[in-house]
Amino acid sequence: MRRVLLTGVIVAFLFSLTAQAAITQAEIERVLRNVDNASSFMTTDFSAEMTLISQDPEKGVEKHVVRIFRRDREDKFLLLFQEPRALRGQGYLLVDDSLWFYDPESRKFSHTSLKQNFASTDAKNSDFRHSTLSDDYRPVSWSEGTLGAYSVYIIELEAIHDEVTYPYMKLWISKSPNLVLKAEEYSLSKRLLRTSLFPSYVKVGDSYVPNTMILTDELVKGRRTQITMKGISIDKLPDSVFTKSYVERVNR
Amino acid sequence: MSVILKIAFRNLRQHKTKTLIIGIIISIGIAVLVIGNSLLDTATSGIRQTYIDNYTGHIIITGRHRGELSLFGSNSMDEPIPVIPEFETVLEFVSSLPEVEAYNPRATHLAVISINDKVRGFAQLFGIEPTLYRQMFPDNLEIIAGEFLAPGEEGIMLSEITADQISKKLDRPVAPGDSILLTGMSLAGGTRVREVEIKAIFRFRNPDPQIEMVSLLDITNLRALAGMNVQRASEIVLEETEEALLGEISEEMLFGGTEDSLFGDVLVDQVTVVQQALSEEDLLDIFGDEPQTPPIDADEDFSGAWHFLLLKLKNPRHIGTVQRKLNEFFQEEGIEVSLQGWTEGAGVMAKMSTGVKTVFNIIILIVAVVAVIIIMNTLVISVTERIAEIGTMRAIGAQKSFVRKMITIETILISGIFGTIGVLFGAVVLLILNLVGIPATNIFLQIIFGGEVLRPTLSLSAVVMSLVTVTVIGVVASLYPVSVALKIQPVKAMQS
Repeated sequence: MRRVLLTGVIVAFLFSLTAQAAITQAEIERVLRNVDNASSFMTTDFSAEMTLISQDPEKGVEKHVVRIFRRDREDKFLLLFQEPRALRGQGYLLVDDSLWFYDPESRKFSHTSLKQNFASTDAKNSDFRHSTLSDDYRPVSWSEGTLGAYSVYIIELEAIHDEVTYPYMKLWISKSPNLVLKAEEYSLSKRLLRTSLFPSYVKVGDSYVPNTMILTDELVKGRRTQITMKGISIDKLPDSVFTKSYVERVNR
Repeated sequence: MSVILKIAFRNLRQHKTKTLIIGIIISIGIAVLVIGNSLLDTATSGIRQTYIDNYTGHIIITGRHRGELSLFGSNSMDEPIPVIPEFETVLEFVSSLPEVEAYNPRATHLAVISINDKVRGFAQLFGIEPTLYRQMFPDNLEIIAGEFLAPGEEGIMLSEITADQISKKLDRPVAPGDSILLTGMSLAGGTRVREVEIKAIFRFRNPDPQIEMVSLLDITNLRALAGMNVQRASEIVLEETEEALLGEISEEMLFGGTEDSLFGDVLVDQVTVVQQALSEEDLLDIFGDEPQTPPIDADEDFSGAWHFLLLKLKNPRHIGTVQRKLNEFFQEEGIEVSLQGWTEGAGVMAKMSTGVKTVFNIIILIVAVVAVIIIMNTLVISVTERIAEIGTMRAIGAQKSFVRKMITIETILISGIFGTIGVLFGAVVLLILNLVGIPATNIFLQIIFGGEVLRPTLSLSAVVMSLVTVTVIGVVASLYPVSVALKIQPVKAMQS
C-alpha cells in the first residue's frame, strides 16, 4: 500500500514538473501581456456606468452607481458617483500618477491611494486602472488546469515593486482568448485577502471588459461586492474630462 | 489585667535584643505595606480623578451599541459610533437634574491631515461646543498659541504633539492662521474632505499617551467628516440579475459553461457599444437636473447629532442616584441610550492601567507575604526559646490562660509600638516622595501613574490595614508556639 502511495506521489511530482516544463516562462509572460493588451483600450477612450452592490452580514446590502471614464494610453481615469444620493458628485481622478479624491460638499480635492478600498465596497481604487500585470509581477509557478468548463493557465505571481495593491496573486487565465477568470490576492505574509471572479466578458472593439465581477473579502465571512457594467462606450472623450476643473464644473 | 500588662512590659525590657529584632522587622514590614499601598492608592485615584475632572466626567450617555465604546471610538471598525437619539429631550432632562454640575456634548472621529497636497499626519478629533466644553473643563488645557474656538466658529485646535509632527514633515512650524485639509472616512458618508483653519495650538495639563493625540474641532466640520449629517439610505432597488448574485454562488454556477449556468455557455458576449460621441456639454450634464450636492433634508435637524453627553456631578456620591433617575426617564420615554462610567470612556488607557496595576499589586502582595512570614517565624522562635520560662511560671501556679494572655499582650505591644514607628517611617518617606515627585520615565509608568509625575500621599486605609494585618498575624503566629509550650509538663519545660 505504502509503495503504491509513494509511486503515486513520485508520478504526480514528475507530472507536475512535466506540466510546468511544457510551458515556458516566455509563454507565460506572453499570456500576461495578452491579458494586459486584451483588457486595455490603448487606441480609444472608454466610458461606462458601473453598479457596485456590496453585501455584508452586519451592514446588509449597499448599492453604488458610478460613471467611469478611462484613457488607458495616458494612464488616466475618472470615477464619478451617481448613487447613493449622499455620495453623488464625489469623484476619484487619476492623473500624472496621482489619485485625487473630490468632495463636492467642501469643493476640495485630497490626495489618496490606489491601494485603498473604493468607498465601502470590496473593490480597490486600483481595480479601475487598466491592467499592467506584465509590468508589475513576475510569474513564479504555473500549470494548466480547468475552471468549471474552461481550460485555463493557473499562474502564481510575485510583485516586482511595492506600488501594487497585492504583493502576491494567483490567476486562472482562460486559454483563448487570454482573460482572467479568477484571481486570488494575497498579502505580504501570503494570507488570502480577496478572491475575484470574472465570469462574463464583453468584447468592445478589439478589447474585452468584464461586465460582471464578484469580489469576495476573505477576511470577513459573508462580505462580497458584485460589479456590473452597462452603457459601455469607446468613443473619444473630451480632454477636459480628465481634469480637476471638469470634476468641479460637473458638480455646479 | 494591669499585672499582665506590667509583666508583658517587663518581659519586653528583659529580652531587649529579641524585642528589637522583632520590632525592626515589624517596622520595615509595616513601612513597606504603607508605602506600597499608598503609592497604589494615589495612582489609582490619580488616573480616575484626572479622567473624571479633565476628560470624561462621572457619567457618559451614549447611543445603544453592541461592542465597547470609548470617547476615542468604537473597537469595531464595522460598527459606526451611534448618535444619541432624541438628543434635545435627553439634554433637557439632564439639565433639569439638581445633582448635575455641568454637561458636555461630544463627538469623535479620526482624520488624515494634509497640507500642500501631501499627507502630514493623523489626528484623533473631538468635536466640541466651545462654551459647554469650557464650562465643564475650565482648566484642562493650556493654549500655547492662538485663541480658544469661539462659539459657532469653525476651526481646529491642534494638540502640541500633532502640531510638532506636522511641523517636522513640513520643515517649518505650523501656526494659528494656517489652513489644513482633513480627510475623514465613514460608512454613512464615505470619504469627506474639509479645509479648516488652525485656531490654536494647545497641550492638555494632565496628558497621557492617548489623550495628548487629541485635537479639538468645531462640531460642524466633525459631523461632516464622520458622516453624521448624512441621511439614511433610501431603499435599494436591485435588478433580477443583481439579486441572483446575492445568494450562495459557486464556481460551477459561474463557470459551468452550460445553458443552466448563471452566465450561459458563452464566456465572451458581443456587446452593442453605445455610439454616442460625448461633447463637453453632454458630460457636464451627466447628473441631469438633480442637484449634485444633496442638501440636508430641512425636516431632519442634524444640529443635535452628538456621540456622547458627558455629565459632571456636584457630588460623586450621587452617581448611583443620577444613573437610576436617567434609566427610569429613558425607559419611560423609550429612548435607546446606554450609560457608561469613566473607565469605559477612557478606553484603552483605563484597561492598560488596570492591567499594569494588577501586576504591581501582586508584587506588593508578594513583598507583604514575605514580610509577614519573617515576622511569624521570629515570633515562633521567640516563644519557643521561652519554653523553660513558661514552664517555671506554670510550676509556680500560673494558669494556662494567664500565660496565653501575657504572650498575646506582648505581641500586641510590639506590633503597636513598632508598627507605629513603621507607619511614621513610611509617612516620612512618602512626604519626601511627595515633595520630590516620582517622574514617569517611560510610557508604562505614565499609564500606572496616570500622568508624568506621581506625588504619593499617605493613605489612611493603607495605615489601618497594615497595622491590623500585622497585629492579627502576630497574635495568630504566637498561638501555635504558646500552645506547644503549654502542652509540655512544667517539670520537663523547666528542665528544657
